[in-house]
Amino acid sequence: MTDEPPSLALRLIAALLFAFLLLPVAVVVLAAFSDTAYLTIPPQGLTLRWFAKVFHDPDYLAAIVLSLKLAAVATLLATVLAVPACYALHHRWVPAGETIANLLMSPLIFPAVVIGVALLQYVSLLGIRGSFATLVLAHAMIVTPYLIRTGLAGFAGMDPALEEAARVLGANRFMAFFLVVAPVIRSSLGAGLVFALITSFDEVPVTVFLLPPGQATLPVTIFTAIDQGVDPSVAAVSTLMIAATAILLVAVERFAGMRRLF
Amino acid sequence: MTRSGERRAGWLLVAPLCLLLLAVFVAPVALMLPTSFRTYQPGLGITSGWTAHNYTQIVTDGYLLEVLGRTFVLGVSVTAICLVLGFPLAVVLARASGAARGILTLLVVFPLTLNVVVRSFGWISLLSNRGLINQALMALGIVDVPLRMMFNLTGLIVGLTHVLLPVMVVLLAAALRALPRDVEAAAATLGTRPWKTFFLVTLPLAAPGIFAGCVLVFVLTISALVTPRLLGGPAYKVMATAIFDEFLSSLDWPTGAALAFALTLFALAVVALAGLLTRRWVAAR
Amino acid sequence: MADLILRGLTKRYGGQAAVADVDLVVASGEFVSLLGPSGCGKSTLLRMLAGLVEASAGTILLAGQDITRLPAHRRGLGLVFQSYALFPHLTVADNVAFGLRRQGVRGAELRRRTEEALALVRLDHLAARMPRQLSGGQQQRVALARAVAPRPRVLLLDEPLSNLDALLRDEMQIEIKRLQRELGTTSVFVTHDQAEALSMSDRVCVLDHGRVQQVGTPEEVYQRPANGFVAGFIGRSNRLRGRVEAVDVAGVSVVLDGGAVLRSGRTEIAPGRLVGIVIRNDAVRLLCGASQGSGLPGKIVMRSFSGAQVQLVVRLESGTELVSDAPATTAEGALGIGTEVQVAIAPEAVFVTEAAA
Repeated sequence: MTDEPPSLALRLIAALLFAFLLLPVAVVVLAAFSDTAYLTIPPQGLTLRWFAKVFHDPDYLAAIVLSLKLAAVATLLATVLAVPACYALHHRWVPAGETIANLLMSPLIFPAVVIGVALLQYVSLLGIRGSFATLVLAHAMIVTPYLIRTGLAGFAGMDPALEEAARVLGANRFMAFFLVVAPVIRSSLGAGLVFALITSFDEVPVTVFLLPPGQATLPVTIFTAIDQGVDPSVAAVSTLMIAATAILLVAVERFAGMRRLF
Repeated sequence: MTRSGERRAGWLLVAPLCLLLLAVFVAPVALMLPTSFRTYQPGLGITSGWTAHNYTQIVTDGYLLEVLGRTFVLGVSVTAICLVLGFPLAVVLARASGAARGILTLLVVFPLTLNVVVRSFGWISLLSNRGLINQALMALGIVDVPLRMMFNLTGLIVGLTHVLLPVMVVLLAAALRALPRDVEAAAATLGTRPWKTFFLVTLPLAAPGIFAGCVLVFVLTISALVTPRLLGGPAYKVMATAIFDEFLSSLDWPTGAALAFALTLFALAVVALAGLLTRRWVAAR
Repeated sequence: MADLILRGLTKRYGGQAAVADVDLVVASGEFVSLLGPSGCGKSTLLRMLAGLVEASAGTILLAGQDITRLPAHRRGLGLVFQSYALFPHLTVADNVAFGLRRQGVRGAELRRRTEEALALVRLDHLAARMPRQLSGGQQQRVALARAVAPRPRVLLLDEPLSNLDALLRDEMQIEIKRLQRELGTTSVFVTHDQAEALSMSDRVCVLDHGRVQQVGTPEEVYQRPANGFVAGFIGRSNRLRGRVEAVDVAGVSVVLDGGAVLRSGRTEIAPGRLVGIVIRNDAVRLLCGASQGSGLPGKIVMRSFSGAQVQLVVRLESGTELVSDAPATTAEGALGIGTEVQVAIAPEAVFVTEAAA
């Protein structure tokens, strides 16, 4: 690829495509502020009442809390399991490291709905259908591939002499990791963590099969709400999700740089 | 540490994660396999006794064949459209550097991280009979009756293209960026015109990366659940939504399981075949 | 300070030995260099001493204690890396204090010893800076301070000056030597630069293909190389090809391609065999005019002046060309192109090794 700046035609097409990508997002945000029950352009009056409705709706609030709890616990569990695994793989302490890494990332290419239904049968057989623990374990499995990928990339990008220096200076491997390795690769780890959190929060195809009756995560709540007919509070809560995601992404870009992931 | 000490420590560090995957991924999928060979009788539940009917009906039952065909067509269409639309964007992204590259990447990645439910909701507002597009078209007098863009293939294609375009762009941009820098410049100095350079030089070199992008987009499209369900409705099904309904509505788990394995095998086969082809390609160079 | 004894130290990767059966004794307070070309195993050897690479066979004794199987963090050694390996997220002071903290040193004592170490390398005014704000030379000095602050029993240095430019390298050589003398720390220094090894070391250990070729003082290694490899690696040499012509009690005669005959010391090689010959440039003496002796007649065909030294290329009657280095201030150094000379080389300076056909 040359370094030449792209032609005007190319840039125009790119701009149009960006517009296409952001169109539904813009629509949702507009609908959240629109005074009418369905969206018109131009919107007939601006209001914040849909947001107020969301904050007073016990179902939405419970869903937000469940999603946050689930994302936090699942990501924590996955991180605690994945980082040591990445360490061992990076230092080639186990044979066939590449194969193992690929196997650990295999849930990525599996159709999520298949994992979902398989888990449904599984937890029904075991009699633990609808437990929070099952959701946590399932989500941990789902976000693991992202953590493995960023974890391995992070370790690979670090000067191995740093860890060696720490060890010769008297730190055992454990101390060396916490005092030197982790701080040095914290941007990669951080980016992976954020991606895992977002992935868990947004997850639908597996979650929808594992929820306890009467409870739902936020995306599943929106999913069923749409099915049953929309009212703009759906748009309001969606706008909240969009805003949260945007803030997180900007934070990752500032502290780690998107280039680390792509 | 000694070599054997390292190995022991290594397995200890990798084991918990492997166990998690075994318990929550491998075991459930393996356990579903026998179910796909059983029969479901409404009121009686799952009977004992083996049959291959669940699999054979995929190719004999007219309705299921339609679902299968629809899924395949969806996959191919979305992949093709994403490739055509994604390429210009990928070129711009690949050539950008510095601050521009950060911003552009952010703009492309942002839709990727947005919840599919939210995105589908946006498209419903746009595509439904009372949605924005129809409102605009009718207000401008271009149509008299609303265009049917939901609950059909059009809606699914639009929605899934929107979801998967960023994926294609990111993968294409990576493939283009990996090309040797001066190849195009060299071609230019030899007198080749820009379009010819593109087809004779850039495209062949980027082909493996482009191919990988298409394979991933295809597999993700045929596996998609949320977007087809929201934009297609409960009646217009693809494989994933059919599986969803068998498990949650009709409670016919055996049929659902068979469909699930059919979808999975197809997806894995595509990935494996692609890998084989790519390796042969690269080896032939 | 301690004695370091290596016995039969070996490292095998697959079937290949990167380090083969190395024996070495480093006396307390001594500065020893491990010198050799890339891939000779010197870095592997150093890393085995540090505990970063596990030995396949052999023992390492430090002050009488067998540390061969001891993990790296318990050996009490210091290591200076080629890439400095300063912790980028810690200040200079925290970098230097790292080893001290691991030893349990805290508070006022910690501050004092950190300042002491930084003062040794004259960087106490940069204690609050971050590594990325320092120049290469400064970073290397911080790395040095960090390694010596915990008062290690042995200081290991892995090609620490290879990333520095020539001027800085000379400065740092003096700096390191001065520091080592002041602290009296037993030191092992790895380098591929023979001038560096000769100027800094009390003794030099020359390695090739994982084996020790010679251990001795810089003078010994330079003036009395033990074999052809050492002779060729240290100093600048002529490399020629020839054949053994005759053997007698005193030594051998070797005939070069072209016909010239040289005398060499005793060797096991039989007459008629093809050999490679190594002769140090400064062993090629040119006699002219009054100081005529017996030698090979030749004519000076090229002369290059490089400050302290002059390099002369002499073409013998047989066509063979030999390079001679001489100090610029001697009579030899003043000889000009076209001068007829006699080339005299002492037999001990002619190293003969069997060549592949």
